[in-house]
Amino acid sequence: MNDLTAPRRQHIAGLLVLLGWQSRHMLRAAWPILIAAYFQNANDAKYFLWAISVGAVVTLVGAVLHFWRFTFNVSGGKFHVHKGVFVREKINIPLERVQAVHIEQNLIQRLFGVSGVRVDTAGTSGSELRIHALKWDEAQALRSLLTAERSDAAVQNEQVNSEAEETTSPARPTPRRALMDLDLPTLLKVGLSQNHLSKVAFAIGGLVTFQGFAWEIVSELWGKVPSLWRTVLLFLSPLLLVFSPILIALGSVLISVVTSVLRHWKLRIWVEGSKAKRTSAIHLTQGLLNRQAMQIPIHKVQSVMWESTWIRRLFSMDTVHIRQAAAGGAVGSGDSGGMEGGNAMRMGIPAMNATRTRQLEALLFPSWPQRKLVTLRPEKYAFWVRWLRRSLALTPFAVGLGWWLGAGWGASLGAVLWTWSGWLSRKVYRGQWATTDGRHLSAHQGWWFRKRVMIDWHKLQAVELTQNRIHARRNVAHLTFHTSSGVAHLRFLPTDVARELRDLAMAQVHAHRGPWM
Amino acid sequence: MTHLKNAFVDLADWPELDEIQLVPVLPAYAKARALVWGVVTVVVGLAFSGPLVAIAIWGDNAPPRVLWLIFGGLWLLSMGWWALEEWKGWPLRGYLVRDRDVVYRRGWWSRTITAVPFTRIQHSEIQQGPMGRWLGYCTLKLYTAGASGANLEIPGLSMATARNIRRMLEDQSHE
Repeated sequence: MNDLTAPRRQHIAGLLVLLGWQSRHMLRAAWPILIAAYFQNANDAKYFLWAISVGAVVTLVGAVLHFWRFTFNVSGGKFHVHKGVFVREKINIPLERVQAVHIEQNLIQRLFGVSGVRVDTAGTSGSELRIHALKWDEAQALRSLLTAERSDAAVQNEQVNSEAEETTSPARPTPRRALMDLDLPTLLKVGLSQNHLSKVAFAIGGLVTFQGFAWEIVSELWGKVPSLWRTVLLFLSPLLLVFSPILIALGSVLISVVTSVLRHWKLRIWVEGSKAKRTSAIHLTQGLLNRQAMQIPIHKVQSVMWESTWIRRLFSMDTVHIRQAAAGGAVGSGDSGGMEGGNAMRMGIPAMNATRTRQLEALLFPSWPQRKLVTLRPEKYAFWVRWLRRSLALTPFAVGLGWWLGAGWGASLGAVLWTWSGWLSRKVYRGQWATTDGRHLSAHQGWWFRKRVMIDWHKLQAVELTQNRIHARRNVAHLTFHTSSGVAHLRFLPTDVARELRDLAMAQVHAHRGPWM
Repeated sequence: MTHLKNAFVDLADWPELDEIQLVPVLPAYAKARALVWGVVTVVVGLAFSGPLVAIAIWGDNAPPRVLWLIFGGLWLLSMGWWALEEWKGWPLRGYLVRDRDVVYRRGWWSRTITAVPFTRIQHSEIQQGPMGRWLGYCTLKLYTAGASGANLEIPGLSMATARNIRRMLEDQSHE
């Protein structure tokens, strides 16, 4: 039964999923209490047990009430949700405001043959709606309804836009076009090319957690080892110091490979829908234990970011993040260049080689490059500022060493630090550049970890030009392009170039007719 | 076969932003900022000097002179810098409403010029706090979509001006 037009509840399995979900939140909030309970003596522990029992009952009752009061349906071009226990909420979301619908399936959901649905809009807060359990075909049907159906106003808007942007041709649905089918060797390469440093902490944490348990086993085994072998093992024990970092490194790589396999298992990406009707979307399915299915309508893509590390470059593959309008309010502009997206909704695709990147560019930015590309580089002043700042920040170490061991040592370390800082600053400076064809911007940054951000200027929210007094004297300025999925910076541009770019970007926004999100 | 039209935007006649005179905000807002500066200066001064004075009066030994110099110097430097920023930055502060966008400029040491197209404004808000009601100014808040960080606040407007800008925004959205 797929009647989604009348108000209805989730599948009954949703109650269990909800219970697990709320318990996780409860545990996250109450972890200090649990730690305190662990260290209490038996007498006081009963109070904590009482507290935990009360928490469990509250969670159970809350889950049941939430399940009972949560209803949803799609009608009249709107997605209606009624929820809330003490405060009743009626949420009506016009379908054209729905940014993305993701279908997920974790282990519990797979056990009961249901899946979760997440509906994202680009509001300022609380814009994410989650349905915990629907039959797989019902979830697919709901997604089709939410993404394909349009209110009258949106359809009219789209017609105006298609008249403005396209010469008429008979609209016909485009067939499903595969973009990527990740095979096992490539998947293993993805795992091997992850940032293993971030997993080192997990590997060490694992060792620390199980050291007590491991020590007991080792002690027990030690007692059974003959005395001659004990002497040999004791003689070889310093080798542990050599091998333990290697073991930790291997453990980190293993964690990376396993997490990648679990996450990207059977990754498939394809394009489906009609471009003329603006229903064309990128679809993605992946996951071994937790299955995930998501789609992003192509016309709702706000920015695209490619990321690569030196290991990924060895395998000639990047990871790309396709970003939509983000919910959750404003993002402050930090010091880093490139793209800051806060909790922007994004689709991450690994294993992007040069061919796939060209395909994706052609799909998301069909007119790129519209005409001959212009390369933009920061002024040389950017390098000097960076070198001076970094070197001054490191100088106290040289001064400290000079005070401790003598002026010669201090001067030597100072020379090394300033040279190293200069070399690094030069690398970073040379990694910052951008190209534009007058309609799009492709901004590169980074040296070790490289990023490339691509935006279509007609989707900009605002443009900001910043210049301090020293910059004004040096005739440089920073430009910040605000999109609804985050900001992109171009720093230390010549002032006249920055102004011209700002005016050009604003002109593109004004010249664009039709929807942008 | 679909042919995309993507006409070239000719910038020759496009008005450059910096050539146009920005409209200054109300002097009442300058008073409010000066008042805030004065109150914060006094409060921070008291917070710095209070413990030292208490030690000097009730303590066994007077606090070392270097502490007075450090705290006093920090106070003078920070508040002096703020005052300079306000003094020199005030004439530069201004807004401009054009046919298709709204522009706001602020800052003396670090000058920022933000341009937000009308078509990207999702909703707007007029805010007037107790000080605004007393001195007769309000703040117009313009919100753009998602996490763009481009929400623009124009403080120091008269209520009539803020309402007119809002009305203009509504007219633009109905076109």
